[in-house]
Amino acid sequence: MTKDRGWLYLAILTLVVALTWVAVSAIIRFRQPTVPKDIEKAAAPLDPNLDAAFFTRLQEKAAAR
Amino acid sequence: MIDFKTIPERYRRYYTYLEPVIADPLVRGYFGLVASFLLIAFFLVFALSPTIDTILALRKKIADQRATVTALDTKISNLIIAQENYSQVESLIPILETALPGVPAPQVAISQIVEFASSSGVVVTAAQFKSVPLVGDLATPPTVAEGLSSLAFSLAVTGTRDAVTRYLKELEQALRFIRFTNVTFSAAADSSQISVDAAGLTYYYVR
Repeated sequence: MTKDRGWLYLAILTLVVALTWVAVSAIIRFRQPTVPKDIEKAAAPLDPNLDAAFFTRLQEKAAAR
Repeated sequence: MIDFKTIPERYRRYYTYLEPVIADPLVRGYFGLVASFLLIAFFLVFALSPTIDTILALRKKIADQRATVTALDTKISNLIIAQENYSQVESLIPILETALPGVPAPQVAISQIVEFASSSGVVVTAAQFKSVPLVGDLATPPTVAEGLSSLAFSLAVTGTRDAVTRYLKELEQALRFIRFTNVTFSAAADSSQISVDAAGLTYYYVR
């Protein structure tokens, strides 16, 4: 009985392997970065705020000279 | 059952060979199922997989590029704000260059040490800077924060208590940034003079 169903099991396993193949290749493709490194670097966030207290202190020091 | 009389002579032996196989109830029952599974697997690998890959890659590219556009727009706004902030402190840049120079420049700190000593009325008995990298990268300077390095120095002065205290305060308030890490006072029993051994750091930017 098992020998007669060998082709059926083989077909099922082939289908499972094909599904796994598709899933893994989809996951790998989804995880690949698409933004070039130089653009990613250029888009890095920038803090525009300067330390006002530091410059105030600097001004006071300069005035005291 | 197949009627052999209707089949041409040259094809008859193929039907004779296949007929027992086709007549097998197991083959009849499972052939369709097995063929379907194998066909689905074939089309999954060679047709659906490339299509799904392309769709996912395009969706990811669209999402990534939208995020990049948003990040760039935010950065443009921040650059405009940074430019306005810089224009407000632009007049202080020369003073900043003295306070935090881009090179070690120990001579500025030394001149401050000597200048304030004479104005405060203390006597500098010893002054030493350690490991000053003047040119090149022979010695790796100690890093205080990102881009900021320090020069260690030690100092020994003698004077009255008030003069020494005034001197140390003036040094810490000097234009070139100086921070004392250790100050030791010692006084002679029969004298109004005190001696101070101080260790400190002066800072500069590593470009």
